[in-house]
Amino acid sequence: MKVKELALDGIVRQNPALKLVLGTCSILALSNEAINGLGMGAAVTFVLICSNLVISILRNIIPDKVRIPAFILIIATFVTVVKMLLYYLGSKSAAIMGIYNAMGVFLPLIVVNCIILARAESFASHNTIGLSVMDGLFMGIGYTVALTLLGAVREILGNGSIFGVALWNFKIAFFTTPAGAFMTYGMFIALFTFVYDRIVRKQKLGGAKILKPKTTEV
Amino acid sequence: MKKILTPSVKCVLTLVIIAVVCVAALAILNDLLYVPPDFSAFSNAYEAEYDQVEVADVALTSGKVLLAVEGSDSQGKQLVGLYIESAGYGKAKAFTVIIVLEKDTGIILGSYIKEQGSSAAPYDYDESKLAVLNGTNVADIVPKDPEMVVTGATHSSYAVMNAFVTAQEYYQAVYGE
Repeated sequence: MKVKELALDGIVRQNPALKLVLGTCSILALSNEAINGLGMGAAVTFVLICSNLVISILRNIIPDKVRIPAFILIIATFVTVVKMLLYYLGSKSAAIMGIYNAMGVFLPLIVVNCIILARAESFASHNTIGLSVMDGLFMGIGYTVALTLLGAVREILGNGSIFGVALWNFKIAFFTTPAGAFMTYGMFIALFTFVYDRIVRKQKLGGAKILKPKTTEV
Repeated sequence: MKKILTPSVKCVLTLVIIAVVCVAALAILNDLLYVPPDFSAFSNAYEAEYDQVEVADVALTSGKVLLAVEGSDSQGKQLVGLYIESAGYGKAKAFTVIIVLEKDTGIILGSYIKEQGSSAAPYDYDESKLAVLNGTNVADIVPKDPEMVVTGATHSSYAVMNAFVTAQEYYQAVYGE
């Protein structure tokens, strides 16, 4: 039951990209293509799971006064691991090297991504190992789904392709620009909020509980 | 012992221990995931075995040397390989070109365009005309007519010529007399 709650929190109720609006720099920069969104999402998910795991293990050892520097140290280590791993895999596969190159500076900048520090501070440092890993996984999935969908829409409209496969010749170059990123992201948030609010209102009237707004227990 | 472990010392010690463990873990992973530099692109310009050498600090007019290698071919010919980013010309942005020269004479033995800068037309590279670029004098390799070397993209041809000029300037400064 707790896992279901965490899944709903991570993917819907507290979706980091569409509900909490965290990590927007990388969302805007890497949503130009669906594959870049998927790659970035996978990297963030890996860091979220690993950092939540280690922080949860050390939650009773790390003194409160130095918890933030300690969290940053742990997060930075896992970001470096992701960077090394992607480069290693990229040396074996040109497709992965393409994603690695597309991520550019945003890969090391995962260290300062608000989603990861927020989950470490608000969840992993107060909860058990299992729950913290689950929280990292579902938050990562929520971020990845949002980023990939955003990337897919921008790629279809801006490049006339999806995951690099050409669909048609119709292209609206605006969607490949930063302004296009802002607009598409704004539309996504608006649509998500509209649908979410409608469902919540319906459930309130009907007495259902599944999507009732709720903050994660800490 | 309790007196030494004041809260401040405990905080510092915790951070130091975490940092040491993180560095140790990264060192091990770095060893496991290390990817040795790949010089196979140089073999596209001229088939040989290459090793990286330090890039000399030389003033160049038409581009910059990103990577330098030295090697020898199967007949024992000593080679110098340069990975050059040429200065763009007109509409053409910078090209990255690999150029291999004979170490003793400076004659260009082969070249390979790794990345083409943006240009109105695709660069129609004709390797058979490379011979006109041989020579140790920079003046020899500036084409009087771009059509001597390439066809189709004048701006691109100059961008690539900049790479050849850079190679010769670098060779003269580092290996020339």
